[in-house]
Amino acid sequence: MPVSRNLLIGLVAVIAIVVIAALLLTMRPIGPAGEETVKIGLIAPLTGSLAEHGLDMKQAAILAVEEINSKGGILGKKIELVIEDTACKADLATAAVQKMITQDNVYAVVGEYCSTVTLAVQPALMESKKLLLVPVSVATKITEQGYKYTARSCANQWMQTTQHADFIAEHLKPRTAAMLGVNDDYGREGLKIWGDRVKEKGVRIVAEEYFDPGTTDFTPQLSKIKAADPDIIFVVANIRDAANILKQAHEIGLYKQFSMLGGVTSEEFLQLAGDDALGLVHVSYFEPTSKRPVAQEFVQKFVQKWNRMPAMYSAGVWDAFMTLKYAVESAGTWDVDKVADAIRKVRFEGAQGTIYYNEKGQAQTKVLLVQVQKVDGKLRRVILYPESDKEGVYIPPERLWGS
Amino acid sequence: MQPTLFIEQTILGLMMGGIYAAVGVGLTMIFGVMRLSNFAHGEFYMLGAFLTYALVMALGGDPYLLAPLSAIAVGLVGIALNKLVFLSLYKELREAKGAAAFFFQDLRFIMLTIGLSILLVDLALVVWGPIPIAIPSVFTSHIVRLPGGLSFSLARIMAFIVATISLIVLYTFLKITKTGKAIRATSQNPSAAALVGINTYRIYDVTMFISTSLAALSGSILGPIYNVYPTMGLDVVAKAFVVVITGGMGNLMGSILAGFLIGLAESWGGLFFGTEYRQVVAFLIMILVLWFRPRGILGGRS
Repeated sequence: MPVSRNLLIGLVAVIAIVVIAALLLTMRPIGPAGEETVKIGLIAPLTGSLAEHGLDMKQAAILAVEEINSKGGILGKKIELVIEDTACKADLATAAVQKMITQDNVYAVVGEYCSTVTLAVQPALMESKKLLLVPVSVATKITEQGYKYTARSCANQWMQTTQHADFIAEHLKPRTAAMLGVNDDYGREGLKIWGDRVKEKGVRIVAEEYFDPGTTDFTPQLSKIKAADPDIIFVVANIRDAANILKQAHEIGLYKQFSMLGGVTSEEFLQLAGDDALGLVHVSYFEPTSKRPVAQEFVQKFVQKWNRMPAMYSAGVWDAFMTLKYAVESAGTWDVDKVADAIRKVRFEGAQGTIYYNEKGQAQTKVLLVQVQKVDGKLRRVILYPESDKEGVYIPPERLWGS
Repeated sequence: MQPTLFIEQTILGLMMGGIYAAVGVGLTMIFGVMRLSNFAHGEFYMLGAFLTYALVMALGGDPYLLAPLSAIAVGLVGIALNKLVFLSLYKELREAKGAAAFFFQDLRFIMLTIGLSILLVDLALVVWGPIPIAIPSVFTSHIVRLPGGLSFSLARIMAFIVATISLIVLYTFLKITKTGKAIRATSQNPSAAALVGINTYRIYDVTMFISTSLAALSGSILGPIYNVYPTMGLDVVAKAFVVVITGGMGNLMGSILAGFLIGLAESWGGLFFGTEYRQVVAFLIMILVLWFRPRGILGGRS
């Protein structure tokens, strides 16, 4: 009876695999070490098209945990990092967070990059009383809902977009503007907030164009914008798209002032875009050139550990872990309710500046406005605003490219 | 509307169309000859771009000169994968259902190509990392200025020319050469082709080579324009399927026509209805074509 023999062999193999897997799983260090550590989850897009940003987050998290542990942990407890990939997909993230809650029993979760993912995992975490420390997602709604256990360590979409629009309207004084954004809620929200804000200040919107996620060719949109002849072009896009947009704009002869949100703040962007990035004005949450001692210390440690400059997202993650550290220490306990209250009272110097939170758990940070300029033959972000950090003056596109 | 805007959009649409056609033709050939829908097609596009990048790093020189080398290398990878991954399944299915078996109807083939796609993307992620890479080329920075404020980079013009030439070469190859005729014969009737002494498994290898190297060539010539990253293939493969279905599955000429049709429709659609509807227009064309001509504009396999 070969069939039943095969069946038997198959069954034995399956059982053996299950038993070995079960043994391996239960042999994970839960024993004595488990008493002394607190697990913190990190969810980030480590694969997929956003993996580059996930890497920024992961490296900063590892660094922050090493830093905290090397100084004796928090209230005598060491931190153990649990990292899960989400690929920026809500279903994967929900499963990862579910695992973190039930299996790893994490104390808090730091994440995510994509706002949609953060919003998707938020309810489960809030229900099981786990802290959600949001380092990167900017959707205004995340903190506006007023969840007690949620705190965001970076400026939200509304804060950065309005601060950006105010700067543009007051300092660059354009008469007309065009807008170009990714065709999803991030892009649409960005264009709406920015457009409304500059319209209040008398700027006329002459074109509003969108591109679908995954687009690589932006010349159709840019060609329409070129025909509308605006003074300034506001773009909401990630670094990959943003670099292509600038490159292709110059290709079709569109040499105007471009301005973007914080998403493009990274060395990789400057490398990708090259000289096409010259003159671009954008928001930055964090500049590695910042002279503040805390920021310098963070940059130095990051470079030492990873041999690359930290991106803005890294600073957000670092500040999320520091928020946890200072809040637990000031509460004097790991009791999650007391820590959630303490987060809203702490005030500390983080990588991004002075960090303090409002009642809804939203960090009240000021964004920087920078322009990409050439300093000693190298592309650099030069801080234009606020006055206290100012490094240089604005150069209009006519001076960069001629007329 | 300014006439220059319309002209610019039309030229851009045609250029995009040439690329859609080049990627779509490879996919439709696999479908027509091998009766297989290759969901990993975009990954050969991606591999071509990365290999060109690796060659530029290793040998120096311009990506546009090294692109053919990379295309041939990826084509050989295509043959190797065809022999390693698919061959035993072809044989098994043919024994069960005869020489005219439709591989694309078999779940195992669907899952295999999807799995291959995931594997290749992750492999690229491990080897080259997630951060997009810019391939420097003298052609991307050289911009050709035309009267009326129109301007395009030389790279884009080159990409269009290379895509068009390779389509013409392929078409002539299939019409004139013995192997080309054997490929067409296998596509029309695999059982009869086998009867007259055509080694259809060898034809599969040749088809795989042409299809994957065409995808790799497209990736290589577009890489310097759009930058290269592991998921770049996923971004084009959906559009390639739209082209293939619109043109008639397995119909080479249909895919070429559909490529240009969709390129133009996207451009004009974006112009008249707003750029947020570009994608919608492409799919709308596909739905309309399927409505009136369920087998595609020029007809294809049912």
